[in-house]
Amino acid sequence: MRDVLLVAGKDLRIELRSRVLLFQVAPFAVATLVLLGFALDADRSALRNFSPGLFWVAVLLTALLAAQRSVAIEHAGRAADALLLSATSPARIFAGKALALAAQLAVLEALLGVAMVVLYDARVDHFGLAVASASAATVGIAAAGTLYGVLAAPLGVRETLLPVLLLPVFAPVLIGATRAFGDALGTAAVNGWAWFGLLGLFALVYAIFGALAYGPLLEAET
Amino acid sequence: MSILLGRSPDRSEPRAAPAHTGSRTTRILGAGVLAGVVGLGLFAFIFSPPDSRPGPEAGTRIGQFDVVRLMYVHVPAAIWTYIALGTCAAASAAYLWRRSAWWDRLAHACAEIGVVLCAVMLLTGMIWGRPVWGTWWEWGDVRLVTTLVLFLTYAGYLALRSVPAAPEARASRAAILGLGGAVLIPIVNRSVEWWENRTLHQQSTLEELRIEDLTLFTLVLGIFVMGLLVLWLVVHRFRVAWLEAEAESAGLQAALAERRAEAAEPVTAGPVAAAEPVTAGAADDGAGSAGP
Amino acid sequence: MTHAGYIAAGWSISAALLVGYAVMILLRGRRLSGKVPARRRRWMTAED
Repeated sequence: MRDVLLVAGKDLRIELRSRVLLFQVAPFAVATLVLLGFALDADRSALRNFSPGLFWVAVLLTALLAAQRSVAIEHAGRAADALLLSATSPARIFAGKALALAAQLAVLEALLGVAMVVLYDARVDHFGLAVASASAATVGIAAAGTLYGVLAAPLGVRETLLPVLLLPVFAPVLIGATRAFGDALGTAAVNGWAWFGLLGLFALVYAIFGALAYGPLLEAET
Repeated sequence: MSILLGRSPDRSEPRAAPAHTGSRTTRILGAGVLAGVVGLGLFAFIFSPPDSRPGPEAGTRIGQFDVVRLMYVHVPAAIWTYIALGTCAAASAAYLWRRSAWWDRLAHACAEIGVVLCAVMLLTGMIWGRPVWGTWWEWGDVRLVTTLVLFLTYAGYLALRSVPAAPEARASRAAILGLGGAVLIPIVNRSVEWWENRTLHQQSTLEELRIEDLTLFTLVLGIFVMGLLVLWLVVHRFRVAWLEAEAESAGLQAALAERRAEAAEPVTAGPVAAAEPVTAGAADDGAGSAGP
Repeated sequence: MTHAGYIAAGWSISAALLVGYAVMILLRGRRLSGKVPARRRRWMTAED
């Protein structure tokens, strides 16, 4: 656990110092929400009805950038080699990197959530459900993003390849999180907690798969 | 194994080896496919009846009528897509376990053929859906949407494979991705099923259609013929993958030999001697195959 | 025959895709065969 926190802390410190998250990713996320608003013709009731889906589309696009960033800092200066040499187990490196990515996504989601309430006039009826399902979705996105990120990392075409690999993987997250938020925001009459269960299952499956697969991948890289 | 690669090389010296990926096995398979396609065409268009049955009102007929003839391509393509992509996932797992290039190439061959078949399945399904459901695409249908995600997932797999990289690293990455697709699909299926709890898809084509004996026979024939075609494609595609790897390493050997020749040192016995026959063979063969 | 256009379109698209793919594979095999020494093309050695 200490190793996990060390790796996560390293990533987060790099992020705090470089401020890429603050100055590049966060504005991108908000700009996405604004453009989606334009696409729906600023119809207030339509925006409110579709706010869960629009919010999660913005989150997933933002997650692509964040995942790119997460592997880019590892690949620059061959930091991955140093991590391997440190004799930390690959599963722990994976957990640490996923944790750092999840923390960054959580910050971005909080920002987007405020923007969604302000711009789309959304109202949160069940705050607990919204936070729980967002957390489960975030862990799933971070696990999948970290795994597929390192998969595409050493290749010259990372920027175009990673979205192609990741977006189909995000399909169940988008469906599940949109439905759960639909319940939490009172825009859809569904059982949000069932969807929370599905998001949790996705997070669990990709966390385990990622932890197991990270070792062979890191070996392949060196 | 020997079906895919032929017998091991030390049994006999090659007689003038033709420059293609065919062998007696594939020629027999190919003849079977051609005969099967002719037979399937006869049954699909001439012998089998259109789907129609008496409607609720007297004198009317309901059913899919002749459009059911698309099923003889759609259903076999669907079944063999799942088998091919399932084999890709299994071969990926086997690669991670045994680390042999054989499994890697099998996974690659199966994924590529699975994606082509998946495209056939989606296109014929859409063309069938237009007259029967009244729409090209139906978001409420679980199998349709899941299959599209499956298609995109393995198209991504092929995209990853197309990126040049060291063979071993590429194989590991591809194997993880191939397994990841298999992990993903049940979750996608579940989520789409809950998403819209209504489905247009026939629970099973075999049940809802009032199946005539000939219709059922034609479906089974289609599945069999498509199976032969898939096998033929897998063998050829596997051999192409083998050739690609061989060509890569032959090019490397040639480059190494050149470097060694450049080094002005007098040639020593040992590794150079071992490398020479390979390059000599490559040069001979290149000249020989250019002729005919 | 009802829906003849749909049926023709479905069958011909399928045939075009599958035949096109098969031809592509065969051509690639022929092109690559020239670059690989005959002794390494194992399926050729015993049967032909």
